[in-house]
Parts: sequence; C-alpha cells; structure tokens
Amino acid sequence: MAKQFSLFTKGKSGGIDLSSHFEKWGWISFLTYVTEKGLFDISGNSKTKLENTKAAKLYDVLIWADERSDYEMAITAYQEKLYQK
Amino acid sequence: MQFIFKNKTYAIPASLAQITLGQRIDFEEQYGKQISERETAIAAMDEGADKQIEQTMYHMELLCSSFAFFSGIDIAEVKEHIDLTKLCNLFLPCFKQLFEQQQEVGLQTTYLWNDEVWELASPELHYTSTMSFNEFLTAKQVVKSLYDLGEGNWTVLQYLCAIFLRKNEEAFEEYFATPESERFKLMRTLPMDIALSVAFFLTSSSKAWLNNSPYLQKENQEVLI
Repeated sequence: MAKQFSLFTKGKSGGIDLSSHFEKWGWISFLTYVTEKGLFDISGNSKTKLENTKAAKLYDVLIWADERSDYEMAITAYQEKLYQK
Repeated sequence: MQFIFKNKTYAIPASLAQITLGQRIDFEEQYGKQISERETAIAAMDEGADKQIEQTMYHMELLCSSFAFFSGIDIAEVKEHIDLTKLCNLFLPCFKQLFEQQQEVGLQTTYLWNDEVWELASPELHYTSTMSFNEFLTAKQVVKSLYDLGEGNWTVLQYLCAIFLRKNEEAFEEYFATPESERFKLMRTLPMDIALSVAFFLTSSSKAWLNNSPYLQKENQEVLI
C-alpha cells in the first residue's frame, strides 16, 4: 500500500520519503497525520477527532491524502526552484 | 474420508471445507518449524541422488505427519503400524486434492457459514466502497505487530478474517480483532475454503488499489510518452 499512493512515495522534487518511518511506526503516524488535519472531523457528534477519522471511508481518506501529497510536492518543487535562483 | 484402523473409525479431510483455520494454525505450530528447517536443508544440498532421496523421505514424512495430524492417530503409531505404500495409495490423492483445490480458490463476496450469510467487501476501492479507514488501519497494525512478534501467516489470517469477513450489513468493530473476542475465536472454526478466499480478497484488493491510484496512472502515462 505504501507504494500505491503518492503520499507514501518520494516525489521527483525530493519530497519526504515516509516509507522508513512507516516501517517503524506502522500506520499510527498516518492516522495521526490525518487526524491532525481534521478534515474528517464532524463537530457535535460526540465523537473525538480520532474516532471520526477512523470512521471515515478508506477511499475518501486515501484520495484526500494522495491529493495533499501531490500538492505539497508541487509547493516544495516551487520553493526549491526559488532557492536555487 | 472415513477409514477403520484397529477397529476404530477415523476420518481425514477430503476437501478444504472439511479443514478449519484453527486446525491449519495448529498444524503450523506443531510441524511448521520442522518443515521449514527441513526444506532449507534440502534446498542447500547439491543436486544429485542424495538430494532426491532426501526429498522423497521428506515427502513421506510430511505425508505421515499430515495423516497423523488430521486423523488424530499418534504419529509414532502411524510410522510403526501403517503400511507406507497403502498410505500413499489411499491418502495421497486426498491430500493432493486439497492442494489442487487451494490453487483454484476464487473470490466470492458472500458465503453461507453456520447458517448465516457472511460477506467480504468488493476488492475494488471506489467512491461507493464502504470500507472504513479504521478496518484498513487495524488490519495493517495487526499484521505489523504479529510479524514483529514472529507469528505465522495462518495466525495472521485468523485476525484478517475477523476484520474483513462480516455478517450481512454488519459494521466493523475494533474488538473483532482482539484475541479475547468471540468473533476472533469463531474464526478458528472457519473452513479453509472461506479462509483462503479472504486471503485471495486481500491480494485482489492490493492489486485493485494499485490500479485506482490517480498518481500511479499519471506515472504510467509519463512512461508511455
């Protein structure tokens, strides 16, 4: 799975390769990352952020994470270009 | 398949449906290490007559162990009192059939077991998929923890069955994947044909998810251009 979604692969612009981190921490760090972003939080349903994230649909979480990863890599690439100038 | 030995009736399985996941786990615990060590030692031998003899002896011992395990007859008694030729002629086809059946396991989304309908999700992950992030995470964490503890594949499969094989319309609960839960214990009695289908489902899911990643599709296009 780590190789299947762009979130977990090192981008061409030199993005962070999280694969070794996942080796050590399993998927806990990914759960933490998604929970911290709070996108799948539903306010007022008496569940914690963590519970709401866990209850989210797998497809939604992975697609969101995939898009975020691509976006962050594009920003990183842009910043690297600026730095080189 | 039933047979009489010393005036007592015994049975050995003739299909995967007659073997439970619990039995498979117990077999692995009893003989797994021994089998793996023997296979490694044979693989390291130089090609030739000695290796062939060793392989034949190993297959015979494996047959005796399997026969003893599934029939419930003590292995020492099997080796001492049962004619090896008869064992080969009568029971080898049974075990061979089990292996062949194992190769033919396919994917079904519903199963009838214990008078109830049990379901597996579709392996394809798309916007209508109901699989929750939690069941995926729990499966990943459980597998990682068990491998870290050196548990075998069949024990891992028991946990995965408890997570992914569910009753009709039943939502996933984290306690399904705990050793104390009734669900987890129930999975020991799961017939091997269904257990292997769960394994097949997980393999298919991984492939389907690979095809589903927009990023990977983009990567493939770039390679083609």
